[in-house]
Order: sequence, then structure tokens, then C-alpha cells
Amino acid sequence: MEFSNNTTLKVLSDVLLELALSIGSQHSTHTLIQKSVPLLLKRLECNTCGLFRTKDDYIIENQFVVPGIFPSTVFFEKLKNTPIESEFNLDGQLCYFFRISKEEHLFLRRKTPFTKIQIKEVEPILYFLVNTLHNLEEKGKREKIEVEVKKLSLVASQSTNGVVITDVNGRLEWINQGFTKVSGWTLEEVKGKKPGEFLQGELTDPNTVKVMRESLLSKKGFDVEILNYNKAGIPYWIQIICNPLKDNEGNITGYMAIESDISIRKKYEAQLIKARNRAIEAQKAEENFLANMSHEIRTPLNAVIGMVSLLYETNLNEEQLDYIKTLDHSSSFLLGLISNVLDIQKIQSGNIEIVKSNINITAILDTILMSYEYRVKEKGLKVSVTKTENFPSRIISDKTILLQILNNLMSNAEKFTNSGEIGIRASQIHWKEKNALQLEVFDTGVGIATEKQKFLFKKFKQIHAPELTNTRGTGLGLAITKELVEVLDGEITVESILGEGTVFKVRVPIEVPENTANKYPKNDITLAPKNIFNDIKILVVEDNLMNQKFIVRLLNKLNIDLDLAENGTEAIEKANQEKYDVILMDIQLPDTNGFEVTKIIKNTENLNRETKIIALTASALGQDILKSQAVGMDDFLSKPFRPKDLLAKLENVLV
Amino acid sequence: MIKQIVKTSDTNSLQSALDQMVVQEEVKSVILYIGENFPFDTDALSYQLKSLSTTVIGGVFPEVIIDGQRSNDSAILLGLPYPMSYIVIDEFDERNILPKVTEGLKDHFEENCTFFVFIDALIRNKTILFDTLYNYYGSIPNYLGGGAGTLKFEPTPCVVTNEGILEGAALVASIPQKVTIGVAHGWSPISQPLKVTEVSNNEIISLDWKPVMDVYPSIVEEHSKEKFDYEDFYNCVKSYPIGIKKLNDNMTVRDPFKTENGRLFLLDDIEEGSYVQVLYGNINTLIEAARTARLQAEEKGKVSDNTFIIDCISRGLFMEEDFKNELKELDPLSNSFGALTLGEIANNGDEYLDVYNKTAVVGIFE
Repeated sequence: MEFSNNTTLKVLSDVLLELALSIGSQHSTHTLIQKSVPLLLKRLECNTCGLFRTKDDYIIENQFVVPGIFPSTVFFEKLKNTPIESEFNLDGQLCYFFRISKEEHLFLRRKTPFTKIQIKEVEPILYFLVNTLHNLEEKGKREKIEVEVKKLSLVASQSTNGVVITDVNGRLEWINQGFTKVSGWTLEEVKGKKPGEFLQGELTDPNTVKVMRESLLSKKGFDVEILNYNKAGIPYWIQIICNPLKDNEGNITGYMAIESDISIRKKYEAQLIKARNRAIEAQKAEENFLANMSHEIRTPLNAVIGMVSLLYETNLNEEQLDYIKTLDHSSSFLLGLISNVLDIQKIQSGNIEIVKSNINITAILDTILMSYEYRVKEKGLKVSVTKTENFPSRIISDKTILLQILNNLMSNAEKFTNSGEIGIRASQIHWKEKNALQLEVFDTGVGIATEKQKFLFKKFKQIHAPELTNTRGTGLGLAITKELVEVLDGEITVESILGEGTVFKVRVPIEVPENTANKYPKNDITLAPKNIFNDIKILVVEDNLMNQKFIVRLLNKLNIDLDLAENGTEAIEKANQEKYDVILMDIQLPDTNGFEVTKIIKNTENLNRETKIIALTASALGQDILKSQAVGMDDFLSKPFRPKDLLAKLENVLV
Repeated sequence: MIKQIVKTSDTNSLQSALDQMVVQEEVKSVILYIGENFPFDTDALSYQLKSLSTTVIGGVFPEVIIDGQRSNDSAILLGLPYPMSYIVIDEFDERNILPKVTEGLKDHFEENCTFFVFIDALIRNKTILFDTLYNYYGSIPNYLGGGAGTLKFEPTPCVVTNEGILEGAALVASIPQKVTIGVAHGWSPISQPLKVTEVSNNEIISLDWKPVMDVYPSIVEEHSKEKFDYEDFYNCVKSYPIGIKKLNDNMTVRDPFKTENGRLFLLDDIEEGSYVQVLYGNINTLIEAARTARLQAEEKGKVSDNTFIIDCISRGLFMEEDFKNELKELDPLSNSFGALTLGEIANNGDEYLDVYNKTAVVGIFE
């Protein structure tokens, strides 16, 4: 039975209508590809449909293919290597490419050929399919953005923070409930106004307002804290973070600001500032007290220790010698106690300064050795200092701090050792990827029980041990030592066996100068031969009579010629009249202080502009040392001092 | 391949035959067809199937075909030297089917593979499974299978799987072996195209906005010159199936099997909006189609003698004694294995996957 072409075309037009309705009714790319494309395959009797990105008539990649797995990888490779034509036969299948745009082709594959009429009728549906796909892709993107915008809108409207949006001129377009809650103003009341017109008041900082205004004029955001006034005129603090809003082309379309109420924080901040100022004042008072106390105690103590030293040089009977020894011991203990309290104060207040220099570490160790050999003579202890082969003679570190660390540890070793040996093992090591100095201070003393070792470095914790009834201290020595080691970025550890002895291991990073071994004398602390004091004259500037007496007696013993000045004015006068080799300058003088006197001597025309000046002061605070250096003093000696300390300083400046 | 027929009514003999089949070393999977009059214990066989480690697939069909013979009271087994992976679909919605389709068949999916599809013929909306399968795997595999069940058209366990013999289910199994396929029906249109204007799954309600039973009987009466016999409906319409018209004048055949409440019931679903024509065929055109199907399968390439037949039971009923001639055309060497089914499934990559009625399908293992 034959049927007319009209019937066949009717079937085709119905098929196309059905496809158009299916494509048009899809709401997502997913359903379009999963529903309409398979329907298209069924109705058009095709077995494959794909949308390909193309370039220069070759396939680059597919955007979708139905069925999901392409006819075969072999077929697809062949297809990719075949230039695109509108119709061709490949592996017994008819391939049709419909050009959608320069870079897009829709592909159909079927067993039997389309008629020309069919191709003509089908083409619009295929374009419609691809257009719909792209529209749905765009729609999908827009919907995603809208969802995000909705979320953000919800966050903005529900936020307890104030959120405001202005136009490009800063006039309000939208505010959230958070803003109304804080300011009392509703959108109807403020729309079109600039926030500054109704939020700022007499105590609002004009500088902050200026920052905001200038930021907006230069089209930038800002982050400020400002005092605003609510509708009832009550001030409140807010933090405003404001950023420009931009369109797709990057043009500013307005501004969005988030305002957080920081009134409570500001209240606490004010309280904190007040408390901090009080604390600073209290600390300053404490520092002043300590400095004054230090000065007031050290000054007479200097005289006591000095006089005791001089008394040893006189003819004493046994009883007198015994009294003098007791006096010497007690005054030395008192000096140590004051020094420790001041050291802790210095460290805690951050006043300790690291002054790194090229120092002769070998000489320091030799000096310690000599010093302790003398001190432990009576106990019959052996003292040793050993160095490894590669140990450098010079290092760059803080000499004063290193000396104090070694003295503290050696003094500790000596204190708790009654027989055997104390000493130092020194080596250069690689530690924490740096050169480091390792100093092991050991003793064969009483040792420390393991459970007590953890208290060793605690302040005011002196280990209680029945066998040490004859030792006294503040319990600060090791705490200070630990702090000092840490000031040098080092660490201190302890190993000890009760009854056998203790080893304190100190590691501090150092620098080792290159090829300096012969540039410096081997021992920079060795007392100078006495002949360097011949034919020199010293000006002693000291107001305290006892100290005057001590220094004068000491210098006389060395046959050093001297002049005495009791205040700053007299010191300047004498400096103008005569050339001195050294000036010993007290700092706290009754008229002009020692720093000012030094400045005048060093900076005005007089005979002593080049004369070495050594500061003598009972103030042990770090800033005084710095200040003495700043005004041009050549060295610093802290009172109370022993004769040998003064001699060492004199030698230091005279050599 | 090892074929075995079980003719006895002793159920144990089928189970013994299955046991013997699966222990053979060259057997990696088994296809089992059971004629609808072959008595068997569904529970016992299901239990046995679940316990087997060898994959067994198949179905209960109105008749089975083995070595050129048809039978409705035999069971036949085919031991295949190919491993299989398979999925069982028991819920016909896309969310359930898609993950199974994408994950369950990939082990033996390759360029030249074959998917066997057996589905309870009474399931409506079979296209969900076919669409999902085709939209994912496309035309890379060849598809072969049919609708399972009995001529009573009553719900019954009829899909053979390793999960038992199932009712209302479908099975898809993949083997890494190509089966070339030929499909033909031999029916020709005798009416103008008619638009299916109202439909409910497999029930046509109206054609060209007229009640279907006002349209269809008159076309049959006009062609047969006999009064439409509602009492002997099947015999009256067995020569007049419905053809769903495609763009290039191809037809997908649908078999009418009853009428009720003015509706025409087809063996498989039909879509509203599609165009149909009433078809007619005679013994000669049908046998000629069988030859065409065989030739199509042989033309595809190098083929073996192992012929696989899926033919429609209604063709067998229509052709009666002449059906042996159709079988001869489909299987000239009489060494075939197959079934007369309630709907045929076949696709060799040329077109979209669909279910056919009153169609002959020949598959030949390459």
C-alpha cells in the first residue's frame, strides 16, 4: 500500500513539534541532555548525538554526547581526525555535522541517510536545542549567583551588625535591621541622606571623618573606629569597614559598610589604658626606688668594702684579723644580695642590654681560673679550665653577661663543693644550626637530688639540704643565670648525682671572627704592670667623703698622683686648669651630674677633651651604662668595687 | 558452548543438569530457558541458583527452541565459555536503575561485547530501563533478549537470575563476546498513518481522536472482508498487528492481544503522539523476513555456527505448522538455541534500543 508524501511530512512535522515542545519545556541542561536529546535520537532514528567545540574544521572537544559513552573510542578518534563536512560516511554509519557557529557543530549519526527535506526541517530544531542548552547554562549560572545573593542578603538582613549600602555619592540606599537597632533610624527616615549628616556629633573625631571622606573621594574603602550618635542623641562607638561595590566592568556603583558596635570594647579599652598607665607608673616608682636604694646602700657599702680591703694592708693582731674577716665576709654577702636583687629587676624590666663585642674568651677563662684558684685555696680544691682543640681564642658575644654567667656558676660550684675539683670545660659546637659556645661548669660537690633539680632555676628557691647548713644565699643566683643565658638566646641544663657532683651545661650562640687570633693581646684582663701608673695624674670627682677616703688611699698606695673635686663645678674648673691622664667621675653629684660634666669636658675647649673618663656610680641600672657611653665616657665601674676592679679599669683605659 | 535439553517432568533432573553444567571447566556462565509448561519447583530452583558461583541467566518463556525444534515443556541450558557480569532491576525508576547500569556491568564492558536483556513481559514502562541503558552505553554493545512470562499473561516468577527466579524484574548481563544480530518482521502497512491521541502505557484509547475500537476493527474488516470477531479476538487480529511509524518508514511492531472497555491492549507500551499503521502479513512475507534476519546477521562479519534465536510467540501461533519453515530460515543448520518470547529485544547499534513484537531476531556468536 502506498502512502502520500504529505503523510510522511506530517509525521516529520509532528516529530519536530514534539521535539520542540520537549526542548522548550526543559528547565536545566541536565534534563535537556537526559530527556530531550534521547527523544531526538529516538524520533530521528539516530544512534548518536553530540555537541562539539571545533576549530579549523576539526573537533577539539565535546560538550555533550548521547549516549554517554561514544560509539567507540576507535570511532571517535577517527572522527576527530576527519575534517568536518556536512555529511559523510564513516565505518558504515552516516555522520552529519550541523554548523551552529564558527566554533560549534552538532553531530548526528544514523544508519540510513536523511532526505534533503528532513535535513532542512531538522536543522532549526537542532539550533533551538543548542540555543536552549546555552540559555540554560547561562540561567544555571545566574541562578547560582542569585542563590548566593539571596544567602548574602539573608545574612546581611539578619546580621546584628549594621549593614548599609549607599550610592556612588554616599547617599543611603539600604540599611538592615542591625543598623536600625543600633542607631534608632529606619530606612524611610534616612534614605537618600549621607550617614554623616545624622550620625556624627560634637565629640566625633573630625580627623576620622576626614579619613572617611578622603577615602570615598579617592574611591577607596576604609576601616575606622568612630563615635556616632543615635537618634536619641546618645553617643556610641562603632567600627566601620567600608568597601566599594563594583559592576562587571569594574565601575564603582556604590559602597557597602559593615558597622560593629564597639562601645563595650571601647569602655574596657579605656579601663585597660588607665590600668596600664597605673602599672607603668608603679613600675617606674619601683625602678626609681630600686635605683635610689641601690645608690644609697652601695655608696656606704663601697666605703665599708674599700676600708676593709685597706685594713688588710695594716698591721693587725689575730683578733682584729678575725673581726676584719667577718666584716669582709658579711659586707661581701650584702653586696652579692643587693647585686642579685638588682640583676633580677634589670632582667625583668627588660633593662638588660646586650652589648656584643669581639672578646678574648681564652683570657676570660684564664682569669676565672686564676680568680678561683685563689678563692678555694683554703678549701684545698683543685680548679681546672679545659678547652677543646678547635676552641677559638676570640668570639663575638656579650662579655659582661658571659662573665656573670660563669661567675655565678663557678661561685655556686665553689659554694657546694668541700673536696675534689671544680672547673670549666669549654668547647665550640654546632647548635641549632649556629656556632655556639658550650661551657660545662662542673664540681665534685654535694650534688642535687633528681626530684629537686626542677626547682633549681626558680626564683627565691634555694634547695634545702641538711649538709649545706653553712651556705647562705638569696636563691636568685641560678634563676639569674638562666635568665642571662636566655637573654643570649642560649639554654642551660643540669646533670647531677647526689653525693657525686653537678654539671651545668650552658650553650649560647656566638659568632667567631675570622683571622683575629693575633690582632689582640692574649689576656685583656691581666693586671697591668705597675709601671704604667708611674707619672700619671688622676682627677677624682666624688662627693662622698668615705668614698673619697677609700679612693685616695687606694691611689696613694699605688703612688698615683691625684686631684680631688667634690662637685661638678669644681671638676670642670680643674679640667680647665690641668691635664689629667684619667678622670674618675661619680655620677650623682650635688650640683651638675657626672654625665653633664663629662659632656662639657668632652665637648668644650679644655685640656682634657681626650682624657679617659671612667664612670663611678652606685647606680647599677643598665640605662646608666648606656648613658655613660652616649656622653663619651670610656668605661664604667659600679660601686661598690674592690681595689683590683679599679686597677683593672685603669689599666684598661691606660694601655 | 555446551547445550543440554531437559525434557523430563522430574524437576530434579533440571537441577541435576544445572549442577553438571556448572562444574564443567569450560563453562563460565549459563543461559537457562524454561518452557512455560515445564514443571519445576520455583523455590528449590531459586535456592539452587542462589547457591551457585557460576552466573546463570535466562527466563521462563512460552516456548523454547533447541536444534531447530520448539517445545513448551522442556528446559534448555547453554554453557558459555565467557564470564558474565549482571544486574537485576526490581524497581523501575531512573534513580534505582542508573547506578546499577553504570557500575554493575562495567567489568565485562568492552568495544565488542553483548548485553543480554530479559524482562518480565508484564512490566509496564520498560523504556526506562532501555533508555537508561542506551543513554549510557549507546551502541557499543549489541543487545539481545526478550520478554519473559507465559501466554496466560498472569504475574509469575519468570526471570532467571542468581538471585532466584524473579517476578516483575529485569536482568541485564554482559559478556565479552560479540553476537551479530539480524532483525526483521515481514509485516506491511495496510492503513494510513493514524495518530495515537490517547494512550495509557500499552493500552490505546483513541486514534485520530476517535475511540480506537471504532477505528481498528473497521480497518481489519475492510482488509479481511470479514466481520470483526470480538469473541475470537486473538485469531481475528493475529494477522493485523500495529506498526509504530518511524521517520524512514521503518516500523516497530506492537502485538494486540485483547480488548477491554473499548481499549486495545498491546504486548508492549506505545507513546502518545506517535503515528501508527495497521499492518498485515502472511506466511510467505513472514518467512521471507526470517531469511532476511538471518542474512543480516551473517552479513555483519565472520560468524560461527552458534545461532541464537529470539522469535515472537505470536508468530509461532500465527504460523502454526509453517513455523518450522521460519525456524529453518532462521537456523538452517538446526543447531540453534533460543526462545519464543513475549516481546523481542535486539539492537546492533544502528538505532535506539527498543522492544519489538511479532519480530524475528537471529544472533550469531562471532
